[in-house]
Formats: sequence, structure tokens, C-alpha cells
Amino acid sequence: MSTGPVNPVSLERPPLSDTLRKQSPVIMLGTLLLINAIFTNNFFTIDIVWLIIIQCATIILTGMGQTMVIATGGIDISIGSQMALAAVVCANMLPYGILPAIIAAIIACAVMGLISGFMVGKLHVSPMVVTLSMLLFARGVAQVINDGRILYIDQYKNFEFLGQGKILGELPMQIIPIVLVVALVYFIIEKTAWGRRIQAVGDNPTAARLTGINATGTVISAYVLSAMFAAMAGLVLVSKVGAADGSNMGRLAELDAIAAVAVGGTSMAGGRAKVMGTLLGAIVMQLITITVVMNNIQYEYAQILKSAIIIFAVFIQRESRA
Amino acid sequence: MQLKANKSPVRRVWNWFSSRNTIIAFLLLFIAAAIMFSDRKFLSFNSVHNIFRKVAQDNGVAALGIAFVILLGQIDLSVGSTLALSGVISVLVANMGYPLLGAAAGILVGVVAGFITGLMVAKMKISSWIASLAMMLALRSVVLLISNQQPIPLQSAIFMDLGQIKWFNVSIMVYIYIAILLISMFISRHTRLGTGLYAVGGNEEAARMMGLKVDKIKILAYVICGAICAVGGIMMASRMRSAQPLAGTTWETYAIASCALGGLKLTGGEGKFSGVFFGSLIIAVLNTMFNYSPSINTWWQNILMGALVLISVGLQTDAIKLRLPKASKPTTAEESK
Repeated sequence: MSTGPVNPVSLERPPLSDTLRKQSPVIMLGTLLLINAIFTNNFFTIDIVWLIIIQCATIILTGMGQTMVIATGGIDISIGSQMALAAVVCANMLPYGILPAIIAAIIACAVMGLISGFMVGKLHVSPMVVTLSMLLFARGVAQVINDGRILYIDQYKNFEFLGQGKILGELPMQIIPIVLVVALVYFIIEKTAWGRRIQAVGDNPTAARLTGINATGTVISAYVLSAMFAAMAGLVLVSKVGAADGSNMGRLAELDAIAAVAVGGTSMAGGRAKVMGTLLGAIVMQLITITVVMNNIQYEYAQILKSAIIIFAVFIQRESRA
Repeated sequence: MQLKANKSPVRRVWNWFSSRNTIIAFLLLFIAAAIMFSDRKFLSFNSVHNIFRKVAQDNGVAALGIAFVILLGQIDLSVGSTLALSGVISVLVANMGYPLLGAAAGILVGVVAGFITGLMVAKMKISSWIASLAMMLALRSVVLLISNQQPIPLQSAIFMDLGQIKWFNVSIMVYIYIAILLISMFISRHTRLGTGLYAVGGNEEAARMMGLKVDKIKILAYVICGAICAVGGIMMASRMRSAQPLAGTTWETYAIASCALGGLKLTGGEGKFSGVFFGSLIIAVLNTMFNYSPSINTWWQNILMGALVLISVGLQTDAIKLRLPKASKPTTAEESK
């Protein structure tokens, strides 16, 4: 850089290795598909696509919220408990109608998200502690409401249609919340000032505050949205399995979401949100499981492979920041 | 002038209390429990011993391990998996007839696991969340593969007896826990590594500029964390007379909660091991209270614990202290001395 004028062409076209790093989620997805094309029988069928959509739904929904929270420089580990809370609230409200049940579940989680966001944004408590206590708290509330039992809701066929039904012939219902949420988050992050504020706060909170950004409100909004998306994930899950289990539903879901965000190229330090990356990351994570299961490999090997891929993905993307 | 302000007895008392809120919370809980269960002899030797045993056997040991990492401002989610793996390995080796070697192998596993996580965090510069999450998944899978998802019964008699030893009616688990606690306190206060931990946790860049070997300190912290968790795994195996493949699942949550309750700053650089001890005690007393009272729904336990962590951490924040300027001013004056 020290010799001669800066070549404008080199600025527009970064070196190939940089492009590779930036597109690493896409490349990983391509590699996985290639491996499957060679080794897995019956992989390229339309059923696999439906399977991926159904199984990815919760990771994608929670991952979208997590992307926003991580972009503000925080982390939300209460997602799994929020899913359980939404499922339990919804299952208990179903006698009053489907719409009230769904709204009640989302509101319940939004309130929890509001508390987390307030503690993080206004009181400046470390996000991990806040969401850790929210993890315990929301799980506890879900358990108390259900008295630790599993509540079956298979008599509500209309509700179960949301998780098991198909539209337009074969398309699973899960596609609707996925498309809605991904489009919404993509629009917020890429097209609105709100999205810019979220990333600015994550990049440098002091600078963001000095430029007049309402940092508190921005952080709170991210946590509330994250909780609401987690609630939707819980609803998708409860309508799919037909039972609400306050004690076990959504356990470790937050880790899947964090992994999807990390594989997708969002910096864990905050300040950068990659919505489409998270989407691809979620699909990659699920595809690994599907690959291993379809090749009759023990599930434990899938977990080991998954963790290796997470580390690899984060490692190669790390250099692009430097 | 500030010293004069400090002399007011009310403020002095407030300062004393606000700097020891963990101990006070513990005492309040303990007294409440003692009154609530006075008919069941809560204050007897047995029930107090039970509380201490709970700390030593449950996640107290893991909390001590994770505290080293939290002091650095990092996190280790793999404590539960490390514990399970070292338990399984030590039982397998001990069953071959080498109980001592088994214990050594278990600890070695913990050290290696911690070393790998530390390497990923310090050298590869991967966020500790992601690194330890990957370790957590991978190690748990290794445990499940080795054990074939079944508990492995312990056959070594010496190893089994170890868990049942009592000195002065106190279980050996409590002694081991207290030994680890004292060693941790010593390391954090009187060694170069200890001061390094606080320095790196407080401000990594500054620590690096002062010439501290930041990477080495980070790796060492993870290694110590792994070794302590390994001891916890061996203790558990010897107590349960078998190695459980699902041992320590979700313990990371409660270990982090003990640290948070104990006043450890989760962004690093602040906190004491004595605080972690009282944090673990609080969780154990809460647990005992729920076990003793049939009328309270056990599911309230999580709610109460979550609320407690939230309140205790909320009280430590600057935002609340700012509204009590009279109380906070002398504290800062004291600190600056």
C-alpha cells in the first residue's frame, strides 16, 4: 500500500482467498452436497428438501434472533427455555382458540426478552449472566405451569396442521415462518436504519452512543425480537410433535443457534450481522446430521464431525476480520 | 474530605454489607432454612454436613474450575463433558487393575481437553463460546462412543472404598473440595499466574503490552479448569461406583450460576474464589430447602435460582449504585487508596 497510488480495481476485487473466506458457508454447503451426491443413495430427491425444511425450522428461527443479539455484541443463551415456555403457554391456552394461544405464547416470551434487554441495555449487566438467569427462570416458569408433566395436544388437529400440514401440494407448513422471519430480519439488518444501529452498537457502543443512537432501545429491541423468534420456534416445534414438555423441550437449542450464527460468518464480537450466512449455517448443521444418518453412521460421530466443522468454519472466517 | 465521609457509621456498615452480599445472602438463606425446618433439625451436624457434601459432589468442583476461565473473561461450556470423559477413562483403567493409574489417566484426560480448548481460544483466536461448545459436543460424543451409552460399573475395590472414607465423620469428598478450594485461592492470590489471570481478565491489551504471556496464561487457565473437572469426574465415579456417560449434563449452567452468585464478574478480572464457594453454598442450601419441604413445588427451584442470580448481579451493577451516591462514593475512595 505504501508504494504508488491505490489501484481502484484491486479495491473492488479483493483477492481470491478473501472471497473464498467470505463465501465459506456457501462453499461448505456445496461441499456437503457434493459429498452426499457421491456417497449417499437417494439423496437428491425432493423429500430430502422437505425434510431439511422441517428439521431446520427451529434452528433457522432461533438463529435469526441470535444473529441480531450477537450483532449487538451480546449473546442470548435463554433461547431453548423460551421455546419451552412458548410451547407450554400455547398448549395451555389452546382451549381458548388457536390465535389467542399463539399470541399469548409470543407475548410471554417477548416479556422475558424485554426483561433481558432491559438488564443488558439499561443496567449494563453482562448479557451472559442475564440470559443465563433467564434460561433458569423461563425453564422454571415452563415447568411450574405444566407441573413438570408433558401436556399432549393431539386433539387440536387444526393447530397440529401448523406443524405437520402441507401447503401447495407437498410444501411443509414450516416454510411460512421461515420465509417470513428470514425476510423480516434481512430487511431490518440490510435496509433499515434500525439494522445499522444494531450493528453500530455492537461494533462500538460508546461511539454509537456519542453519535446519538439510542443504544438502550436498540439493544432491548434485539433481545425482544430474539425472544419472539424463539417463541415462534417453540410453536413450530410443539405443533410438530403434538406435546409440550416444559422440562426438556428446546434444551441446548441455544447452542445450535449460536453454532449456526458462527458458521454463517457473524462475528461473535458483535458489529456484523450476516442473515443469509446464518440461514446457510443452519442448513449446513442440519445437513451434516442428515448425511450421517442416511449413511448409517452412529449419531455420536455426527456430533464430533459437527464440532470439528464449527471450529473449522470459525477459524477460516476469523482471518477475514484482520 | 472523603475519609471524613467514610467515617459515618451508617455508610461504613453499608459498605461492609454491599461488598459481602454473597455471604449475607447465604447467611439469610441459611437462617431462613434453619427456622423453616427447625422441627427437622436443620442445624444438626448431619444436615450441615449434607450441604457441604452437596457442594463437593454436585457442581461445586466444576464451579471452581470454571472460575479460573471466567476470571479471564472467557467461558468453558465443556466442564460437564470433561467430567464425564475423565470419569469413564479413569474407571476403564482402574478396572484393568491399576487404580492409581486410573486416577492419573482421568486427570490427564482433563488436562488434555483443557489444553485443546485453551489452544483454540488463545492461538486460533476462536471465541471461547464456540471453542468450548464444540469441545462439549465432541467430548460428550466420545464418552457415549466409549461407554456404548451404558454406565460402566467400577470393579476396583480400592477406588470404590476411596469414595466412602470418612475422617471425623466428614466425607472425604468435602476434604477434596476444600483442598481444591484452598489451592485455587492460593493460586489466585499468591502466584504469578493468579495476578496474570486478573490482569488479562481486566484488560487483555494492557496485559499484553506489560509483557505478560497472555496466550500462556489463557491455556494454563483452561488446563487447570480441565484438571479440576477431571478430579470432579473421578470423585463422582468413585461415589457412584460406576462411570455414568451422562454425568455432568447441564452442570455448566449451574457452575456459571454459582460463579455469578459469588460475585465473579463474567466479563473477567474481578471476583474471589471465596465468593464462588459461597455461591455454591447458596445453591446447595436452596436445593436442601426444596428437598426438605414437601409443600413447595420443586419446579419453583429454577425460577428462584434464576431470579436470585438476576437480583444479585443487578445489585452489583453501576446503574444501581449510581442511585446510591452516598454509598458508592466512599467505596471508590477506598478502592483508590
